[in-house]
Amino acid sequence: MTLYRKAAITGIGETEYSRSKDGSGLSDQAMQLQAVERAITDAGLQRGDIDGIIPSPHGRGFTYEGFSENLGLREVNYSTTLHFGGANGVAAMQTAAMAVATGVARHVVVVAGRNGYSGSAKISARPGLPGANFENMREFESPFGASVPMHFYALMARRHMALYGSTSRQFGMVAVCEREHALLNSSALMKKPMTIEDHQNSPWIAEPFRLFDCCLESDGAAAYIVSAADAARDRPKKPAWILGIAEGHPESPTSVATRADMLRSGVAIAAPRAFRMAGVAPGDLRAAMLYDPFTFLVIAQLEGLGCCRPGEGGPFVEAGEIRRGGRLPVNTHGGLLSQSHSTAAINHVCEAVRQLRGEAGAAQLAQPAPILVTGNGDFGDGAVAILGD
Amino acid sequence: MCKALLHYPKVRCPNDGSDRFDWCAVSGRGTVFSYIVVHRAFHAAFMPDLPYVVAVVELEEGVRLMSNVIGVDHGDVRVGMPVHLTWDDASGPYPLPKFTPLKSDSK
Repeated sequence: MTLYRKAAITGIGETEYSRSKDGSGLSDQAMQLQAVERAITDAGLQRGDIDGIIPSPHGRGFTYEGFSENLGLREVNYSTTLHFGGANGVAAMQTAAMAVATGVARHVVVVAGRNGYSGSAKISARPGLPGANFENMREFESPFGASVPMHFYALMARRHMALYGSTSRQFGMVAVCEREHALLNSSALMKKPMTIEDHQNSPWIAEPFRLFDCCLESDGAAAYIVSAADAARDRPKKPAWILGIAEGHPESPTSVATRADMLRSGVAIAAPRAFRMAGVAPGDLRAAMLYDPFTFLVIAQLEGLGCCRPGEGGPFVEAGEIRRGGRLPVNTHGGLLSQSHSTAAINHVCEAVRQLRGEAGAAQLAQPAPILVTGNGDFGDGAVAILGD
Repeated sequence: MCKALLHYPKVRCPNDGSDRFDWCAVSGRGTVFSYIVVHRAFHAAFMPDLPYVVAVVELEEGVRLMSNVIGVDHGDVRVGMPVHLTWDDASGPYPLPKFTPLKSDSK
């Protein structure tokens, strides 16, 4: 048995995304509730229909108790929380699908969100890496000034440049293409066009990353509902069927410096399982929503997924192939780079579902299925979902 | 003990499951496996050092560690560059193992 077509996404919900020093006007808890309520409405469900919940550990949001109490949930049959950073939103799809496929639950909501710009969760304002699982980093790496996720991903990018000759301009084209997409999406935070010269003129933050290689910090939450196959068919909107789903973890997950292959990430490790389950090959994909905290990660994932051979991701991007109209449109919502970053990949899941339903507005693709979504978190945890009609 | 070299320290040897470890001396010579040049500090303690080079150094013995490359213009650092150990703040309370290019040593 696999999870192929055993579950579908039946509802999605997002709050507004914002970057204001005055704050979002919502607490982390309130924005998470709002995203969940919107997802429930979108699915045509009542609050009491939710019997499973997978909250995010980020920010100051709720554990399951808070959702249960505030939504008046009568019966929560399943709850868990993952600790894979930005991979959570897609990795949770696997555990949610397992829960509904086995009859443990019927409708599982996955939610994440925080005030990542105005609140305490702002990464650039934190003195160091949080979490007990990063103790090696704090003891052996932070003293050398490697103190934020960007530094570790920049080390991977430099290694890739040395091995394959990838360039800052190639990284920049990821930002440029995603900005083009963001301009089609009214919910995206970035509203001005970006040229490759704009990218090349943006200041170095940690070479080889410039300012425009780095994603936004923003406020906002998002949620989606995974429903059992029989419960998905009678929903008002077309279900987004889960064709393939897998999570993967790199060797020595907290140490980028010491892992045998610095460039072999969880996404690359999960990808063959997800493709096999879906009966889909990388060349069959019509679009991909790739977790993009840094431009380079889009190139790394194109290669890790098998959409490009190692070293060919940069030229693929430079040729414009990730644009709408290219061979594999990527992040038609603008991604973390130009839409918003605060939902652990759930905004990517929401865009994939909108594309499959034909609700993606000006960014709508003519033939979006099958569509792939990734999450990538902490220092290489990954998850890959393949969704279709 | 399987004599595998491990860094960073662990509770069990992932190679043979042993909980018996010993320290051993290494050459202090290695190469730059990857590096970045930090231009913006995210912690006030590093502001006086900007711009500074964070590098993953692969020692001759095969283990890697995070460090800084110092004593060289940051624009001259390369992947594959031979480096050797130099103790920063050697007499201070928190001496740190840093690296400097081999060739600058012979000048």
